[in-house]
Amino acid sequence: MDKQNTLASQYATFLVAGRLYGLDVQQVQEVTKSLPLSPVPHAPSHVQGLINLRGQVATAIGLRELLQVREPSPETTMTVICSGNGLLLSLTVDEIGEVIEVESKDFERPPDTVPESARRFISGVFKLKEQILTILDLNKITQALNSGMPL
Amino acid sequence: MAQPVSDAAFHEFSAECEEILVRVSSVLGTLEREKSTGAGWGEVYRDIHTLKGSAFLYGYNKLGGVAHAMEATLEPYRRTEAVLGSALFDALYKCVDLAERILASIKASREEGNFDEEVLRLTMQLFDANLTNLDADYLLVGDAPVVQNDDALSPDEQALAPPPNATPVRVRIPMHSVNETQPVLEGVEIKEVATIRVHVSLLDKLMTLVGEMVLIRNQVIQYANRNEDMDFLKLSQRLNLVTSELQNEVMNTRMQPIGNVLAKFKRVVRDLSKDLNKQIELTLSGTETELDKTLLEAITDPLMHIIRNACDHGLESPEVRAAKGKPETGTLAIRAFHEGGQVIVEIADDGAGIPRDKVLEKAVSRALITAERAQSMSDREVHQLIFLPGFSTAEKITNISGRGVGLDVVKTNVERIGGSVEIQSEFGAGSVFKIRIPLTLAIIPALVVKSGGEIFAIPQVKLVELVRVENDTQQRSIELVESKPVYRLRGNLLPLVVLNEVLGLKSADATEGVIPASANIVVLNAEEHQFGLIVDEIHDSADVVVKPLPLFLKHLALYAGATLMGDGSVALILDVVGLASKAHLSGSASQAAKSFANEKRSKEAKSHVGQEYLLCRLNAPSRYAIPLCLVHRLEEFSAESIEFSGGLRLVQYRGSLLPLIDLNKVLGFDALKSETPKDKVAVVVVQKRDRYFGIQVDDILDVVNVETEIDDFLRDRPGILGNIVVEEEVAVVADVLGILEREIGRMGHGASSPGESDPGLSFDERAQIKVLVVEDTPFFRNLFIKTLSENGYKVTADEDGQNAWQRLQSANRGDFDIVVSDIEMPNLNGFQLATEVRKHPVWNAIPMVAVSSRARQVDFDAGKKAGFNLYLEKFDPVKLMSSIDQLVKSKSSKAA
Repeated sequence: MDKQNTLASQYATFLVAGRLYGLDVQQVQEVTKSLPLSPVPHAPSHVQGLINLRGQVATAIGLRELLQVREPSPETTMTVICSGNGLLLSLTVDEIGEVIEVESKDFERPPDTVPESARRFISGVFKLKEQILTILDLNKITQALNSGMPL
Repeated sequence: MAQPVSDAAFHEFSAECEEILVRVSSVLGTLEREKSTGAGWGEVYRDIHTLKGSAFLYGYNKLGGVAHAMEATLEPYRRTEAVLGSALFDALYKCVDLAERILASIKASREEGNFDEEVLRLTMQLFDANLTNLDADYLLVGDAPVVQNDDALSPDEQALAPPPNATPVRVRIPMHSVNETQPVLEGVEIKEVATIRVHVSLLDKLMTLVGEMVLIRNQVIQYANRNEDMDFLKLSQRLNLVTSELQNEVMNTRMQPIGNVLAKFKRVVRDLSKDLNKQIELTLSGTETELDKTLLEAITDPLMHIIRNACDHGLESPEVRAAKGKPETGTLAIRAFHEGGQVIVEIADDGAGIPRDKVLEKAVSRALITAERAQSMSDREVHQLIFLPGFSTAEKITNISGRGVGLDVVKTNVERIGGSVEIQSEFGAGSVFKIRIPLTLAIIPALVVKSGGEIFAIPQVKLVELVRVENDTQQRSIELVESKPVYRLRGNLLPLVVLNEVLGLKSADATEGVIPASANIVVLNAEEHQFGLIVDEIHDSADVVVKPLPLFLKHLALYAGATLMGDGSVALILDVVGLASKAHLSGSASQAAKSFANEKRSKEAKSHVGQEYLLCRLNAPSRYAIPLCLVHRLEEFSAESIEFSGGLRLVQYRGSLLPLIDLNKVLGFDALKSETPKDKVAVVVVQKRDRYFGIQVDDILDVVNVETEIDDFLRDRPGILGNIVVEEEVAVVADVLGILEREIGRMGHGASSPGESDPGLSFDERAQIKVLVVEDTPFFRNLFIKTLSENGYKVTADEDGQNAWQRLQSANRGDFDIVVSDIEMPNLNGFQLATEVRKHPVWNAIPMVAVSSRARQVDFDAGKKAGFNLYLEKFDPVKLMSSIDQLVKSKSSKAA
């Protein structure tokens, strides 16, 4: 949890199955509507395919699959482009939210009841007025991807 | 031990060190080239001093130690005019290299790594070299012009402007007298800098951007072509050119001479020869051959392995060599060169070669092959065994090459970068390893295919051929072995892999155990195996820009990368070897496929220049050959699909009817009587007069390359051109064109059956006619010469329009009476030749006959327009001769 002492104050937020997630705004390269996908046969289920991001090939990761959210995905999706640990990722989400400013006093570790399968990608939660903002740890996500994690 | 420091401080430190090392290394180069002395060393000295300081500050004592040793060494030189010898430069370069490696380790792990011994050794070497260098009363001022200590010139001017016409001399100058001169280098340096160092990541980024630009360029051109705006079109075409050029140049920035790697091996071989008590001389050639940086790094280890292997196993000890009558010093020659878009590195030794018996013995004992198989293997196949995993012939395990790692690793590593490795060896005389490497990994030629609705690219290097199989009936073009599909490709079983199945893509009709109605088979080479990949559609071949995949997708071992297509979509590049193992093709199960590939390769190795023939079997003792230049395609039809029209046998082929001519029948053999009636008919499709004709044979055997000419001494019947010798057996060459001419005549299309035109001239009259034949295909050229000279004509032949045109220009009127020319030829084609001839004052009226296999109406018209008097189809000798006779006769009567 070294990241905690350097907690960011601004998060780009997005919705997956009605839940609010956030990524450090510094780590987000851009947000776009979903781009045409080329599937990669035999890839793990969270790899939705490859996309052409202005001449660079990005790997599309379904956050739904990654976090093992069972609700079906909506017809239109959006993507959050971010990079880290040598990967250029396009995270598929349902909807894009605002950039939210938070205060560190509202931060808490993820509750113990959160299963490890999702917990490993979450650095913590912010207790916002209306709802809970779950912060994703991009570093852990890319590391897990690179290690070819089993799901 | 490093102290804990903040990230930012650490990065600043490592970046500074890196910068310093880059600068030192480049300035060292300049100083060595210019034989600089004194103040020129100031900058390097200061840099190294800084490096030492920072390294010690951060607790990196090894790095600091190296810098310290360099600093101490350079100390005297920056104050005197002493020149550094090459040994000292060598030692300094090694120090920089070591410092770079220590720094790399620091950057990776914040630890210096285990370099103690090396630091110590190098420090000693540096001091030794320095002592030797200083150990003279005199300093040698190299081949530089002597600068007189002239008061009229300021020191700067002295350095910048050497005296005019100064002749280089070597002089000895007492050390103390040169102390006053202080040439300043800074001003000189600027114009000398021809190279700069940039980070590889910058080049990669440039490459990416260029790739992106290429895509935009493609879109712009597409848009411009749809547009009416001419100016825009012109601009887009300029953009097109400049982009292509830019792409080339950016690719060039990644190229490095292979010598960078090869030079290293000199020391390796020297050290090895000492360790092994052998005398080995290493020669390098083609060191300037350039290769993509990534590839260069990738082949270093395989090369090292092969070289160690050659020194250890290949080359014999001096005693053994002497006993064999060889020179005691063995040679190891490494040669690098370009060939067909690839870089080839050959490692040749004149050592013992590969002992067949030992290899077989070992292979059998390790159960790599069976004893029966061992008996029947060719030498070539035996040599390939050394690449099998788990093979090592060394009698004793040495620390040189017997490290539990076999040549199979070399093979795997080379193939990973899209290359191949092969060996040729002669027992007792030596071995040659040949490594083929693609020029660059960034852009590769690929075949684009579609399967399961997705686009895939297949690297062209793995591609052998494309086969289209049509199964309109329930016939077995594709058959099943244990529910796995196979295809009989020229008599050998080719295992088939359905791409949709391997990748789990949805497909309309392909399910296991069911034979598809038709199939596109891409025949691929995967290591030792050859297999057919069934895809839905075959698109174009194209040069694709390879984009790396994330590691976790690479680990699937199915894809070599991704690429962007013209429409902006992403396509996966298939990893052919991975695909084969995914489909369980590897291993002993596909021995058939293996020997198939080997057989094929040995044939390819043989093909040099000469004429290629298709070998067929008929119901006759000897084999029959058809010149390959006449063959359009090879097909197999089911016996049921043959229809009859009167006496003619026909099959439906590509939307029209293909008449079949049974070669057995034409040549007077009985139809093949086998126990089981054949349900497949092998057909050689040839094109004549814009129509296809099928020549039916019993079996298509092979394609061979024959360098000797057709021996036409024994021509026992019509339809035969003569004999050729193929692999020490005689094959009979069928006169396919003659046969077709006769058969077409019988079919009622006869436009030119013999005897139709007037009888022509007598032998003696023909002997007066001087014919210039222009034909590039050796087969036809010889046929022309033979046919015409047998009938009396005086024949001169040239192999292309260019040569013929030169010959005509230097010839005199009367040297030739008529020109008979092919149309499609290199350099100057038939049309161009005719156009030139018609403009020439001497030859403008000479009769010209075009003889071409391109015989559509447009070709006839083009021929007339170019100036040919007559356009004939290849090859009807009677018609040709009667035409020659007529043309020459009417020309001379006109002249008279």
